[in-house]
Amino acid sequence: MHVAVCVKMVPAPGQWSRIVFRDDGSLQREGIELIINPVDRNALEEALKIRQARGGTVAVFSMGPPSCLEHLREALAMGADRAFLLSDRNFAGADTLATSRALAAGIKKEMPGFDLVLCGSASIDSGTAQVGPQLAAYLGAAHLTEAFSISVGEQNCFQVRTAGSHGYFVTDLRKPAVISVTKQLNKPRIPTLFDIMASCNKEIIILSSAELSLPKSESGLEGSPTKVRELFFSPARRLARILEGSMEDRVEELLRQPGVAGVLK
Amino acid sequence: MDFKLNMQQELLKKTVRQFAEEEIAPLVDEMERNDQTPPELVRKMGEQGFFGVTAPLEYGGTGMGHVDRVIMLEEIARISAAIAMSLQVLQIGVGMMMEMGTSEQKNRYSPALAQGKILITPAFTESSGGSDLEGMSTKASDKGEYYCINGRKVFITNSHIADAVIIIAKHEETKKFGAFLVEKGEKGFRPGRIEKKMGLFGCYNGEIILDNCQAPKENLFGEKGRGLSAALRGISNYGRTGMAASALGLMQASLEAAVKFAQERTLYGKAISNLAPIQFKIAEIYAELEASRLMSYYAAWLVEQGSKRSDTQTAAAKFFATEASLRCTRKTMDIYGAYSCIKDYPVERYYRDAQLLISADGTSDIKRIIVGRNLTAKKN
Repeated sequence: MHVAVCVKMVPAPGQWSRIVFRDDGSLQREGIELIINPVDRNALEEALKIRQARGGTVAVFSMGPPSCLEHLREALAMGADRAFLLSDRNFAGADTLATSRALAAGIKKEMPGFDLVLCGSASIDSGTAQVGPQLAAYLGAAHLTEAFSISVGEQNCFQVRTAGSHGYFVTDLRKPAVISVTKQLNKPRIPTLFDIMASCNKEIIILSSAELSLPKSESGLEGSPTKVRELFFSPARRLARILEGSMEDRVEELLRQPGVAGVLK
Repeated sequence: MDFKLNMQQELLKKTVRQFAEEEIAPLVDEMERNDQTPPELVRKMGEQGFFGVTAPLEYGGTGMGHVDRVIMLEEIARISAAIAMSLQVLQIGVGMMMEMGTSEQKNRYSPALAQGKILITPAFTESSGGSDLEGMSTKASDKGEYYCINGRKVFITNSHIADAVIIIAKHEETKKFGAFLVEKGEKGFRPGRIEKKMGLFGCYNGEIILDNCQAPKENLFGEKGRGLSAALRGISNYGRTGMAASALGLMQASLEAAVKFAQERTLYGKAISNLAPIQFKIAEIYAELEASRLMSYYAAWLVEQGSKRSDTQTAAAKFFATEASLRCTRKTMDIYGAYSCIKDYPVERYYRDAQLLISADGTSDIKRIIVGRNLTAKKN
């Protein structure tokens, strides 16, 4: 079983007040402490469990500047066999589509016989949840999002559980597949000191856009249809309102409030 | 000169921090209530390889260095100085086994020792004190097939969780000191009372009683009559840097708590972080932390290099960092004002824990004597 895991480096939660946006709307990552997107660690953990049960290899793919190398080392310490960093000036400013295209090219080149691609359902910085499905389209693979349970079936398929509004769905997904996962899937392991030592002997390969045969027009800002028009803060406000009248009136009024009816239904 | 941690050390720091935040932090309140070291946590730390951090790979260790050990202990002490204290003393046991143990002893206890499945703690101190090792009265008598040991060790860290202890006792025949490995099942061995401390709750400290204790001959640790120098080397190479690292963790936690509180607490309509006296205190905590960190990392590096200067540097780092941690935790309490005295906040725990670091592993005054004696000896 050959599993590719896509991980993204995102600003650590405590660093959000230090985030600066460039004029083009992209996020300036230099000087900000980055971490592996938390739910991507769940994706990696699941890949390691599948390898433990079924054998095979686990490769991690990411796109970003060379400073991401240390985080890929962490993924190797968790147990991944190989890591690939798509790093090139041409990749800068990529939106989710250009990112998916590049990651798909990387997986096709370095893991052509993959059985499964796992990624986190969404990143904590932009939260679009678009990369997984787009990646599946570029790879021509079946896909599901928001998986909270994955088991490897006997007949060339994965049995995947995803949350529904009144329960959950169980879906058999044929290989090769791309699955976006949620935090409920598992608890990511913490590398041991032995794992850290072992990770130092594992190789991280840097891939350029040229090596992936991606022209500049299909990479980075140039290859991204998304254009940021405006950035603004949307402050969250708390609404406090005292309801008047009899108990019945107040309950009736309360149930008319947006959101409350849905909660109490 | 490169002050940057290497990639392996960065990863170590991050990983141990994650472990401390996820696995130790949830246990701190319970440890504060019952003053017991959680066995499940010990097991998990063993799996992580924490006990054998400096032990060679062939004995089940990770083969990392003393600087790595300090980085690791600092991160643990940032969450719990008690656990850092317990761990660092058990690492002394591992270190002494690796440096002094016969190959038969190393093979007998490896890899379980490095993996935390067997816990060995040093037991040197007696009621007369821990620093005057020559004054120890515990005696070992050669009975042919075994050594008969009599004495009482006090203030022994991990006294009630250790599977074995390294005892320093005077050979009755030669009047020289020897080191003996005594397992808890040996006849005549028993832990005594548990001390009720003011801090470091979650780290056992108590008595070890040796009443006609029979230690097998093969448990003589290191060369006969060289036990005292072995004990001093263990304290110097592992104990002092371990204590300094624990102090660093307390200072780091104090600094983070001070900054957070100063940014959130308002006075006269503004956060108190805008007030110069508060900024002064935070600046002083930062400066003391950074100075202590440089001293401690340098001391550990000297140990790693096998430098003769390590004795002076480890002693200086120990007294400076532990005293600094007391000053810093006190300043954080001052910033917290009345809130500092409430157990809902961790800063009073930091302060209590810092006080215990001063006397453990040799008081500050003893460490000053070592530094002063070494420096003046060089001049003369």
